[in-house]
Amino acid sequence: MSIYKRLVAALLLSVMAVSVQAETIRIAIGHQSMCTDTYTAGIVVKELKLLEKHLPTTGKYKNAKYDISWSDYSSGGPITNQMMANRLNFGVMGDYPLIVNGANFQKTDSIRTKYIAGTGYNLKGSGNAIVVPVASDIYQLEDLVGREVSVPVGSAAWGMLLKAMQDAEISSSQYVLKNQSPAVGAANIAAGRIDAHADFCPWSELMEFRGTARKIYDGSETGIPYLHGVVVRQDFLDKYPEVAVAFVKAIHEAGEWIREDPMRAVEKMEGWTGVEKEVLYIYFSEGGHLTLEPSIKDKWVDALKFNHGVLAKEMDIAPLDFDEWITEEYLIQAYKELGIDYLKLKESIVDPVEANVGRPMEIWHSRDGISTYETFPEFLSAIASFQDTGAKLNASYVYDKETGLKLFGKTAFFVKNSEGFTTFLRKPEADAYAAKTEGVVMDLNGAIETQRELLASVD
Amino acid sequence: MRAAYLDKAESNVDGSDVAGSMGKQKALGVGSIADGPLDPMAHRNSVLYKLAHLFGQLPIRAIAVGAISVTIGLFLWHWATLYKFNYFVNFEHVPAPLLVGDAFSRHFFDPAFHTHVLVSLRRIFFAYSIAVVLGIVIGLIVGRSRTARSAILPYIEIIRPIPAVAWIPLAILMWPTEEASIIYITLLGALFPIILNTVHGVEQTPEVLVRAAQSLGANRAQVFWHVVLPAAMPSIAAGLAIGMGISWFSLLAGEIISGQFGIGYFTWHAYSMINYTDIVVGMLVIGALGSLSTYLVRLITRPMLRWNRKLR
Repeated sequence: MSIYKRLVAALLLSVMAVSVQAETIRIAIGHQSMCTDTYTAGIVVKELKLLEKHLPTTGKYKNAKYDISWSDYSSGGPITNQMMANRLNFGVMGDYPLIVNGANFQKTDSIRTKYIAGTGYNLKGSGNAIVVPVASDIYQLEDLVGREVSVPVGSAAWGMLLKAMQDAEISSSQYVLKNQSPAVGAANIAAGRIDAHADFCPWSELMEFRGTARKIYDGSETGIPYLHGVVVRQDFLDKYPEVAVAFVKAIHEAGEWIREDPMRAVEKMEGWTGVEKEVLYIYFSEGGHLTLEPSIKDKWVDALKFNHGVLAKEMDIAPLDFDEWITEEYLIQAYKELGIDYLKLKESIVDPVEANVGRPMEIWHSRDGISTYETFPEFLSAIASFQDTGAKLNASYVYDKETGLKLFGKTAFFVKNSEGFTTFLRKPEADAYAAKTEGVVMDLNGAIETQRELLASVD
Repeated sequence: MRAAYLDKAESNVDGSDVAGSMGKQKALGVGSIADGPLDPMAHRNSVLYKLAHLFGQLPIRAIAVGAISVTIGLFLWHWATLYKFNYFVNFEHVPAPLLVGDAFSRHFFDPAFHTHVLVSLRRIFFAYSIAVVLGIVIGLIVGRSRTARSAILPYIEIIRPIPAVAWIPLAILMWPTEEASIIYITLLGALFPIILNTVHGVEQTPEVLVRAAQSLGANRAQVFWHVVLPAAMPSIAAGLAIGMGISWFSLLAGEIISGQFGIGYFTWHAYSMINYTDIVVGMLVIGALGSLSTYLVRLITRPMLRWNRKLR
């Protein structure tokens, strides 16, 4: 063997040795920047580089290099497709797509996914909603008989719509259900081309905020929890369980970061996703729709089983072994390492109806930020005086008396009676309350005018 | 083919008998050719020729080769899924042909599936019909008039490369109904190949023929009808066939917004539910319908090309 050949051989060997040592671990995550509830396992973790912060660097990972990639999708289906092809190993999606994911993987001979953590939830199902064009004469579910309703079929909003119609005893033959992606549905609502559209977060609130739609039904009325979660390919988990633990820690930290300062968080998130901060505030503020907490509660498993039943009946989806699919292993390990009692966390549940009683109203001044008001006279007078000075207001927020949900002031129905003002999400409830208490139903501008008159008469 | 035709045409024009030449021109348009001893194609009328021709028209050899090729393809597909072929291209989770066949036979008797197919066929019919009329008219105008060409060509060149899916949001906003939006997106696919091929065909009209017709006293309309249109016909027919294929192509994009029916919607919906078998069923049905309708277009346009074939 010539010296030259020996040299080449030595070089090759050393290259191989190095490559064994410096193993590159590919972490490919599919997330959805147009689905608010996934942000704590998606865009926030990505932008704040929280995963990098928690990735293991000791033991067998001492020389590991991480190759992290984030891909953005508009629904869960394409993420599952990419995971099937092993181009993604993590997927973040809503409850119905999660089930489609788990069931389709269990249908294959060899590959599986595991549901390792949630991202956030709404106990009663808020986040999904049915909207109609602003000028529509539809005010309640019953008005949808004989009309066309679109929804992204197979999404959480679709499950909500079916349940809502079932609860209202409207059979599937009494309305026309059309399958429409969120963006197309929103465009149809804006053009007044469909009677109603059901969608998931943040689309309904986005349409409300942009002034194209009005909510007639909120998912909370179905009472089925609405959740999102993270699925991971099992072959990845078996090889790098510590990476999954790091991911759970990142989800937790993303939640903490938002809770710490919701205003800062929504402003940042607007920059990352293009969804208006005023809309995001409805979800992520104190009293917002979303509770950011990743534990997998027994109630969640029940909800997922219910969802699977709907999918099996309507879409012929494959069976799903929940015990095999759901694992709390990584959550437990992550919270152990963070020094937080997981079981205690798992047992705590936030119910917005109770949690939001007595929360103050808010006005978002475009320059001075959010200010809070305990009473309606204060709140309405403040808006009136802002209007007089020509100040620009980004949004105002009130709470629905029925569900405790945070609402945009401009879309709420105000009832004025002898005791003062009350706000409602929907017109029928507002009408009923007004009839009962001899009140008058009005919108935000009407309420402001009423308040002005009251002040003037006092003077 | 075209060269032969040109030679023939020019030799006609070169002929000393001007009236005879004009007669030939007319024949080109009408598509019939005068019988007689001077006609070199006279033997085509013999019974023997017709029989031989009929037999020759049945492409037995082609059908056999095609069938064998498809069988091999199916077998390879079957084999690749059975042994989970995974070398650069991964067949591990691709549905096997038998599974797809099974799903197809299930859908075949399902009235809902029939609705999907019929709705798509109806959309193709409307979109394509509009595209044919618009495409040929615009193509002829652009081909014949320099001013029209300068005015219209920029639009064609800018709009043509825009993919059908990109039109979705605007199509929803602009058209009064969903059906109209889908038909619009579908017709865009068919329109441009038809226009461009028509323009091309018109440009190919030998100027000599036009001048000859003019010198025989034909007015603009007559030149157009008897010379330009027939000369452009082969190219137009090619455009029509290509346009049909592409309209199926854009139909899928259009039907993403259909929300209820259509074979494109069926395939799209199967994708959102990660139902790979149905996705393949949808793809193959679109492919089959597409090639079938293209064949139909060729069949319909064939008589219009008779003069061309006879001169071959």
